This record gives sequence, C-alpha cells and structure tokens, in this order.
Amino acid sequence: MNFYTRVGKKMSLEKIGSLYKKIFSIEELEKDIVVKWFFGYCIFTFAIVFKTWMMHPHTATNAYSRYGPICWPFFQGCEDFIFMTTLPDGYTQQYFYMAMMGVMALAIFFAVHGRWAFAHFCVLVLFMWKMYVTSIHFWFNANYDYYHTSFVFIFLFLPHKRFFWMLTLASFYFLSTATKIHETWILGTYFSALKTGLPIFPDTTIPVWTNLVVIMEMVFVWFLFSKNWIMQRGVFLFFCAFHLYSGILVGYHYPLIVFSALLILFGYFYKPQVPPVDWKSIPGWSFMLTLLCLQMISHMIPGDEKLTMEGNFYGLYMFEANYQCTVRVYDMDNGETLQRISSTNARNRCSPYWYMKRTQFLYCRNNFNTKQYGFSMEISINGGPFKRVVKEKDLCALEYKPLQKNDWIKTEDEAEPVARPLKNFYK
Amino acid sequence: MMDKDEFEKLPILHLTPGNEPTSLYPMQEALVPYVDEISIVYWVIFWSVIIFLSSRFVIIPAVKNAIGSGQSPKDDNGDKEKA
Repeated sequence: MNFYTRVGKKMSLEKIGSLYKKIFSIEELEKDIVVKWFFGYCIFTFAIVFKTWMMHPHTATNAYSRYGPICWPFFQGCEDFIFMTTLPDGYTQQYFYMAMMGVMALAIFFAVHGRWAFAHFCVLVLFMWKMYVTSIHFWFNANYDYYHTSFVFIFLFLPHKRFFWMLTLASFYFLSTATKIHETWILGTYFSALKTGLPIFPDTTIPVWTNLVVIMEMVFVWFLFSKNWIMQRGVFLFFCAFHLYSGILVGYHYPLIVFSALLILFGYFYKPQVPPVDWKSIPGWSFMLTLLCLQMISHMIPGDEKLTMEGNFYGLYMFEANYQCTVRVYDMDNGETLQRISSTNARNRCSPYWYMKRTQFLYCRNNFNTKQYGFSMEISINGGPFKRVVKEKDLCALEYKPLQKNDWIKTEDEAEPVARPLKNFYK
Repeated sequence: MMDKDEFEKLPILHLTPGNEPTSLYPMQEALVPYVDEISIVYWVIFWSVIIFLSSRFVIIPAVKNAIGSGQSPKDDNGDKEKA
C-alpha cells in the first residue's frame, strides 16, 4: 500500500466517522452528562433484558418440541427466521448472548476512553440483536420491553436525546391511562378480583387508589417538567413512591427499567427544558406521534380489547385486566375433549390469538390429517362472568387478521356468559 | 357490566378451589352506575391534555418561529449569528 492510498483510506475513515457522529448526534453524548448516563442506562438495562431472555426455548428451534413458535400477529411467518438452539438441544443461543455481553463490555471500554461514537455503535449492535429476538416471538411484548426499546431507539437515532427521553417517559405514564379508562381501574376490579387484594391498603378503598393513579398519570405527570421546584419534586416523589409500591406486585424488572430512568431524568440532574421546535426535532415529534397512534390501534377495533385482545400489544397495556380462562379443543365427530387448558394467573393475558396458534401447532400441522377439531374459549376479566368468546367448529381453518375485527372472536355483547369465577392469584 | 342478580345466578367455575367467589366492595357498587360517565370524563381530559400541550409547546412556537423569521429556523439561527 503506497503513501497516497494510506492517506486516502485514513481520510475516508475520518469522513465516515464524522458522518456517523453527525447522523447519530454523537455530540450530545460527548457534552451532556445526562446523555452519558443514558448510555449507562442502556447497557445496564440490556444486561437485565438479556439475562431474562437467555436460554428461552421459544426463540430457539427448541420451540418445535413444545407448543411451537408463536409469532407476532403482523409477522406470522417469523418461524422461518428462528435458527438458534438452546439447552438441552444446543448452544447457539448462548453463543450470541455471550457475544452480546462482550459487546457490552466493549461499549463500556470505549465510553471510559471517551470514544463515544464506538460506544454508540456497540449499543446499536445490542439494539439490532434485541430487535431480531423481539421479532421472532410474540412473548417479548411486555410493557417494560416497550419502554426499553423506545428509550434505546431515542438514544441511538434521535437528536435532542435528553428532551425526547424525558418526554417519552412522561408520555408513557400518560399513554398508559388510555388502557386504564375501563372498569378495571375506575372500579379497581383488577385488584378486588385477586385473593390477596391490593397490597398495604384496605380492599374497600381500592377505587380511591386506582383513580388517584389514573389522575396522576394523566394530568399531574406533566408537572415533572415544571419550573416550580415544589411542584416538580412533589410529583417526582409521588412517582418514586408509585414504583416502589408497584414493585411489591410486579417485582424488580419493571422498576429497574422505568424507575431508574425517572431518577436519572427528573431527579438530581433535572433541569427545566424548552421543547425544541427546530428541523432536527421533527424525527422526535414524529416518534411521539407514532407512539400515540400505536396506543390508539386497540381502540379502533370494535369490541373491548381487554376481552378480545385484538389490537392489544401495539401500545402499553399494563394492568389492563385481571384474566382467567379456559380453552378446550375437542373432536368434532364425537365431542371428546382432546385438550383443556385453564389459566388463573391474573397476568396471563388470555389471548384467543395465542391459544389459536398454540393449539393449531399441535393439531393442524399434519396435512394428511382430515379430522376436524372444535375450539372454544371462555374468558373472565376482572372477576366478571366467564364469556364464551370463541366457539368454532374448525380450529385448523381459523386465521387471524392483526389490525381488524376477527369474526370468530366475539365481543363482550356477543359472547354468552356461562359461569362466574372465584377470586384468583396475581401469579 | 352484567346485572348483579344475573351474575349470581351463573354456576361457579372452580378454577381456584378454596377461594371465595368474586364480588364488589360497597364503594365499587356505588360507582358501577357511573362507569360510562367517568370514562367519558377521562377521555375528555386525555384528549384535552394532548391538544393543550401540543398547541402550547409545539405547534404555536413552531408556527411563530416560521412566521417570525419568514424562513426556516436554521436560517434564523444563521441570521442571529451574523447579527
């Protein structure tokens, strides 16, 4: 390689470097302490997320020996992209997850040495891996996954990272109320249907607390941005207390993702922000509009999405209803029950789509099978009656449309009530 | 919500034996007739908050910015620098 080629190569690498810095607003990462904390947050939370996901059989070919891979409703062909194995069948998944741990270590190395563009690139690799794993299984759609994916997206791609991280966090509290405008929270029936009720507070006062949360998340959350110190600190402390309290039920994972972001953004480092309205802010505002539209999808589909689960999972859906359900697959020739599944776990969303996919995998894979299977499903939400939401004669003929009403899933008005439940458990 | 008498006539499905049947507490019973009205109030607040915040902090400042300078915000900054 001669001198001129070497200089030319160095020049082009420098150009790529400065272009990368410009595209991804790396300057913010170099200058703003909160965006540096944001980087630390990303690494910390990736470690939490991947710890939970590693050795998960449903994102590996092991899923085929269970009840099959279950893809997102809008990406039902995801099984073609599942290639990893995990124990006891193989190690591929672990190779990747441990490689990701190496990338995390590398990211920290670069950050310590002030090489922020490289550190940013490492987070991009982690994000791409997360997106791949998310896309191949319907399971990884929890609220905290939604939070985490959005936050990392902002860190990676949006200008005005600090402001849009703050706004997204506040907006998530706010948008979650769209799913809480329901008897679940207005009456608090989610909690009164639990055997253990609401932690600490008397069960008779449940509606007071559930409505307080709705009002705080809908209106007062915006005072997190207040210039009035007392107001800002008051609301900040309320949400701190809220996370510590809700952790009694939900455990560590959710507060680690959300509470830590709250502390970084609205705690010690809080400074009132002026919303940016320059050209660079357009991607950020478009992102906010997208979050709002995703949250509204379930409200556009007829029927109570808490019962039908249609359009759920595109937005936040935390504590949207307390579930119990029974599923039955039966032989249409003689009515014999072939499989009965029941769930009393309040958190287990009894999704007709999920159970359709799961039972279709077991009964409809064999093309030579001429048998016809009946499929029925009764769902109770918030301690209300079990309603027969599904009763179909041909399980294998069922198809699911992701963004519209599915005729085979009955709404709350169409579904026949068949029984009443006993109180259930949170887990 | 289903009528209380009709609900209590339904057979119990014993998926969690030993637990008592679900029922409402007095404050919940009192609120049942107003669930629809409360929902409407909440939706009005929800959309009002969006409209107020987006107008006050995004749309109006952006329009003012555009009208005030008569050019793009980037050019505006450039003018300030020159001044």
